[in-house]
Amino acid sequence: MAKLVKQPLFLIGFIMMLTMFLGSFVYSHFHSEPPEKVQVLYNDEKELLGAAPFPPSTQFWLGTDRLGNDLFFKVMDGAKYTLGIAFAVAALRLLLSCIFSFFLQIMPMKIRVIFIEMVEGFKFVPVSLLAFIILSPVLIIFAWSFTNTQQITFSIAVLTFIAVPTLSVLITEEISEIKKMEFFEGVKLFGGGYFHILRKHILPFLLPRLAIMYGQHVVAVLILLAHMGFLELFIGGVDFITVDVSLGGEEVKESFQLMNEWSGLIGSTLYEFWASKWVLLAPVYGFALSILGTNFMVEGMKRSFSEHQPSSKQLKKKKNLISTSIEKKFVRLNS
Amino acid sequence: MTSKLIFQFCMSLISIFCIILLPYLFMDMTQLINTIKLIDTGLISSGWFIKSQLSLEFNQYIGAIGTTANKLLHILDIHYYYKGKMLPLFPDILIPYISSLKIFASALSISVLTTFLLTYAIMLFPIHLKRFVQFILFILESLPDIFVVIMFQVFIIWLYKETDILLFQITNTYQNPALFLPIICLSILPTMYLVRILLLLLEDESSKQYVELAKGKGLRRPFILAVHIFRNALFSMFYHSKTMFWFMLSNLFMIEYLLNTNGILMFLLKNYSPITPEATITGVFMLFVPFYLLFAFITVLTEAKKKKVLGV
Repeated sequence: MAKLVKQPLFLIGFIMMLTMFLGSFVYSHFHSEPPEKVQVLYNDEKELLGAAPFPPSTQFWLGTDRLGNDLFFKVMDGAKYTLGIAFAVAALRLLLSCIFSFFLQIMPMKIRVIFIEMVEGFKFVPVSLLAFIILSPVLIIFAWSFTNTQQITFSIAVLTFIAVPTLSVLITEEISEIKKMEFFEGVKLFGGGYFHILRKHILPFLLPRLAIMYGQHVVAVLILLAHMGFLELFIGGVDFITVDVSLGGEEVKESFQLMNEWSGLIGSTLYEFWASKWVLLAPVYGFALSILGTNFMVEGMKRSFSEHQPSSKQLKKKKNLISTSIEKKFVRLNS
Repeated sequence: MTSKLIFQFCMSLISIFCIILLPYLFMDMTQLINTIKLIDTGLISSGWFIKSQLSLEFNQYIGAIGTTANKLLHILDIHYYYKGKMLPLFPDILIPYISSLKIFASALSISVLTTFLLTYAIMLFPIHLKRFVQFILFILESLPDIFVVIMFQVFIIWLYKETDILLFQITNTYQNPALFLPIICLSILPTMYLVRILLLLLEDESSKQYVELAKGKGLRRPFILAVHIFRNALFSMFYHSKTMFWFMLSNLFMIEYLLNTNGILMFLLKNYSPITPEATITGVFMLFVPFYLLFAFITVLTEAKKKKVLGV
């Protein structure tokens, strides 16, 4: 753990994530009311400067949307929901995959092989497309038929289970990799029980890898959430408000979100992009920063763990040293 | 090896088939489908009066598997559902399919080419500059795909506003599809990934003994790099091809969506409906088969080479 803190990349990433996540709570604690909507702006001589949406400036750091809401407030307020969902879903994915990989290991070899080969199919279909196929009947196509709570639970469940097959195969592979290590021969000979071996011999090697996987899956969930935002799949479901009636008499509806969750912010402002691009860019900045921060943490963990465990290369070098010195002695004795 | 690949191929097809039919497992479809048909034909305006529950419908799921498999057997008769109408899938799907394949192939070749040029240049840099470049690559690679694509678009428009130079055509028309921008966007992130992997492999390879020998013979570094090290590192790079395809495919999905390209993933997205899962399944299979064949070809090639090297 101390070595982890010494990794500058890990520290930078950790501080970035912490400020965003905790900062969001602190910020919304002090700004419990959203800032006043600013529809028009005047300068000191009471001249009209412009009307909402305003581009980013010193007054509005990320600009405002068409209704005059400050986007910096929206993004800061939404951070805790989006990051919270990402942390929770990644943890759930890892937990379920660990349990699943346990069952996978005790299964007969044939069933395991079939399962592993079936999981390969996942790798050739984009995850976002799969998420769209499974979620859109509940969230978009038949949205009128399901309640909000049902939609939220279903989307969280899909976000979780979509990665469980791949992840559990990965964990199974890691465990069998550990079991191939040399010390494991000895472990088997001593004849400890299954859980004793798991706790004492496998977990110390598995935990750092699980930590890295957790970070990677936080990134994966964040990316998936961003994609879902673009595909207008909102986790909490969405209300449509009629903003206009077209000449043909059709109602023009726009999606409207109450919770400032980032993917919702993206989805509900997609149409603004060409007129006022900062409205869409604000939540995208949020996603980019948090993904960058988590990737920094993952890279820092990778570096510190590879220092911690002697890599195969270092071992080889040591072996070479030992063998050459022995050979030298051997040669001397003979001559 | 081939029997294993064929087994894997069949299993993947089955799993894709089962996943796409999943909506049938969680809700009672018959009532919902009838309602959506009424809404799309304009007979009723909304289905708010129908409140259904999410439930596990095993019988319906198995029934759906049977009927869909039956429909897939007559693959030329498959129709897709679009706003109340049933339209034939072929040949509608072929134009976006070919344009997607074009974009993918050109982006792949562009990124492989630039990777070789870039890594060769970076390897000749002094060590501090190399570390710096590696760090920049790491940061760029850590950014999400949507961010890079949007920023690229914003940059091109900004450049146009400032200097009146329009680098590429950015709007799509039916006669004149803008292919250049998606190709460039798609090749950015894979290039970053490949460059980073190749740099690691090259560094690993440079510490080997034959490089020392070559240096001892008085060969110049650029020559050793180009002739000896590159050739050996390239062989290990094929192991990363699967991750690379996966990565590019999920990028392609977002790029087609963001740039409004008329590609197959966009086609599947726009015309997806639980009424005709067989159309979606056909589309995904059409994507999967060529990629899998390419991947299998690479695997067989590397295995053969490995056997040759190891002398087994």
